[in-house]
Amino acid sequence: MKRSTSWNNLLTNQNVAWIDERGTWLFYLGMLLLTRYSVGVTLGVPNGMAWTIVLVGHSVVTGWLFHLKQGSLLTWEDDGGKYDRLTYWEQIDGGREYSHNKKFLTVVPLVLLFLVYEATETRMFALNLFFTLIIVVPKLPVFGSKKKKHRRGQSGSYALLFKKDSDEEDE
Amino acid sequence: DTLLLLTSLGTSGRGGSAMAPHQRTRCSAEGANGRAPKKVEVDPTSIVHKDSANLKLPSTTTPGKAGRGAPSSLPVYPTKSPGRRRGIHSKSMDGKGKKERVSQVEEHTVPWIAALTTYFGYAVLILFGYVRDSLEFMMSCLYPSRFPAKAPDGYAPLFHDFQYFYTRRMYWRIQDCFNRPISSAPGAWIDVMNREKSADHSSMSVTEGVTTALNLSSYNYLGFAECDLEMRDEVVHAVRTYGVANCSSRTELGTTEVHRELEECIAGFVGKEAALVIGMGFATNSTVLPAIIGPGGLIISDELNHSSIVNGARGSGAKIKVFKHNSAESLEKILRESISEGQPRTRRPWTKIIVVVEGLYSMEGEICNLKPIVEVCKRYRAYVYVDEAHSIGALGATGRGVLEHCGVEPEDVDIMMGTFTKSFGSVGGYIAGSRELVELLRRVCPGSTHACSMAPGCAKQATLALRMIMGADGTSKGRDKIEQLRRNANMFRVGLERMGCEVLGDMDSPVVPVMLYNPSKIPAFSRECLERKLAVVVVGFPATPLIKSRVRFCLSAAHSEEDLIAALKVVSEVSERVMIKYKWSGKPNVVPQCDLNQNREHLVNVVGEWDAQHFGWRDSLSISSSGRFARGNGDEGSWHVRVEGAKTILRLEWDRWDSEELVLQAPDGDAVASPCPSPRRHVFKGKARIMGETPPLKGTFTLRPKEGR
Repeated sequence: MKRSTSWNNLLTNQNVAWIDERGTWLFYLGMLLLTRYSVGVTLGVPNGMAWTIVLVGHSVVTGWLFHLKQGSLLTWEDDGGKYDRLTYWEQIDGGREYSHNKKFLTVVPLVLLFLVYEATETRMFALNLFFTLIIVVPKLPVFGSKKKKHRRGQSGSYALLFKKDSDEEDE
Repeated sequence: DTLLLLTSLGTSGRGGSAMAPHQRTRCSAEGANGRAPKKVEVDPTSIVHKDSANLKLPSTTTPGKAGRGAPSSLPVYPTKSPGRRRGIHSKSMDGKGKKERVSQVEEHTVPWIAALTTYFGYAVLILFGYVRDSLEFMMSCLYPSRFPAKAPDGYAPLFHDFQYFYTRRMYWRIQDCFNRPISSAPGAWIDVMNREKSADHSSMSVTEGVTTALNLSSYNYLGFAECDLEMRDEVVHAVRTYGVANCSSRTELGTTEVHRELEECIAGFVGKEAALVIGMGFATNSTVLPAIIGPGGLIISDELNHSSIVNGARGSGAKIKVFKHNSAESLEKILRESISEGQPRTRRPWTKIIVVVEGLYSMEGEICNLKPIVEVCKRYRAYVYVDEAHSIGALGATGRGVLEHCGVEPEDVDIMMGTFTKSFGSVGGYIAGSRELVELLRRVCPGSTHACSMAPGCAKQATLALRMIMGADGTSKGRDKIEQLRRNANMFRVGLERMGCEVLGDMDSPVVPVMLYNPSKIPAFSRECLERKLAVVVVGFPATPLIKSRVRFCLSAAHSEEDLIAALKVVSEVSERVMIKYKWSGKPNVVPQCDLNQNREHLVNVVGEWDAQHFGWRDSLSISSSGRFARGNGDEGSWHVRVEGAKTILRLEWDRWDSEELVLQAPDGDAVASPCPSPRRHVFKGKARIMGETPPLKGTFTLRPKEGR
């Protein structure tokens, strides 16, 4: 496929730009529901167990994808290593905190926890709470700022992502 | 209730055809004052024009085709494109004249079903890719000898697996759809070489045999890719005289007579004083922009500009801002902000501001909204740079590009750039502008001072193609080509819209993109088409946004109507299988749409009459005896029907052009059975009160020549 360098690839992060398109949130929720019901039907587990499986699986997958893996998943050829030290979470919306997407992604595990709470007893709840915490805590901006300071010297791009005025895009 | 199948004796291609630039000035009272309609004296005897349906096209290397020279059998009636709902532009920026606002061009929105299924498709692909990766990892642990190391001992690997995932697990699976080698000239038909994949899918190798396919993938707008025999002789003579290549830059030994001739030719063609020709189209943009602007200047470029412009702009050192695609409002906002704020830190005024747009955006098939953009630039005194790589030769009534198509004078555009690759069958690019500009560029632009000049054979080919288009070689081949291209493009586009595909872009554009969305439809469409002997270009993620993959058809004057009808049938069949008919209305016969604007006038879309043989339905209506109509590019007029003795005469009074009269004929007994030849193109998108149908909203009418004329 033609790998054209255009303004889109230069000025916006194409790894994460697709999140703003239509249907991503709905798809995300749809996949969670689909997993819950397919797991529930195939394994024949009760309600709480199914939601627990969904919650744990969701935490593991999104924890790995958003907070452990760094770099560009899709545009590594064209972006010159700008995002190599940034996790996916930090790349979303240009590193800006409290954006709509980030709020949504923070709330979803909590809603899952709530659904599990409705359906299970204490032992299972502790497990679910643990997995929810390990997925929600890295999303908090408190942790982001620590990483900001740590990475200020890295490649300049992360610092660039945070400044919103017009003079940083001196291309 | 009279159902009139309107036919006319001859059709006229008025509306700008065969008008030289100096004649156009008398009709352009444009500007900020709004349109001043010109009423020209009517000479009824001179109006009926010769029908040009009998075309003889130069392409001869087309296997399996019917006899040449038959009049084309389908009328061409563009209709409003469902994918792009372009508002009605007011003629003047200050809103005089009609009461229509300049409406914002709508962004293309993805249908919900397509979006959700596309994400699901990507999820499945990623899941399978990850499963394969895990299995490969396990196997490499168990049988290390079968899996060679990624890097030799002591060397770091070139890339991480995570980053290369998309290429390995998605692109390599479908790479037989891209970069296909060919073994013939890319004319109307093309020989695609067969390939097979290597064991780990990372590369492909050529096997025996070729597939001869109809070529809807090459930029061959006017059909010059296949050689015209007279042109070939002259080009070979030029090569024998001047050599295969000059091996020298323009400023040293690389300027020959053919270069000078080509420069004069292209400058006259586009309506500028002088031109400079550079050997490579990409290099034209990327070397000229740094030569004309530097640090302290501002470049405002359209969002979707090509990477050559991006390259040139970044190389120039100027500050760059980007405005929303084709939006004069966004451009105006950015201009106002930038001019009032000045340069970023020092707040000094900019040394100069250049606004860069393209004539035809090939990935979207959209024509630049040039008139409002030029108006805005004139008001804020910014320079305009138009890149006509795709639009020169392909748009406009005489092929003079997007300026002619949009009705903009060449004086209003400061720098016109174009390439000879797409429409002229050659290579290289040109820059046309004022004499001072071009003389400066000759001295300063690296494309002229350091790069090798264009090869003499290619320059000669471009010159000959230009002369043919201008009609300077004494034949009407050029004009025929341009009309055939337009006819093909519109017919194909309307055919695709009819069958329910989501088509992007504007009418008259020879590039027709059709949305696929889903990543798995990319190879499905491409492979199914190639099996059915149709070569198409599919585009996916890095070149388009993630979920907006598309297939992009490029029409050519070398295609005959039979070819395109067959292609439409193939595309219809493949689209059914691949399920990309997102805009299918659910009924086999698409009812023409009609909109009401705020003044409660009815906009009529010209739908046309496809004869029963090919598409199985037809529609025809009657029109009232008088009304206003407008062409897609802004020409307007009024019509009036009167009866004189035995004849019914339709009189068209264009605002800008001469009036004309056409004779209407009632249909014969079974006019359905015999298809009529396609007319010269009358595009009517008019307001009319439609009689004979209830509710009186659906309205189309069309003009066709009587068969046999």
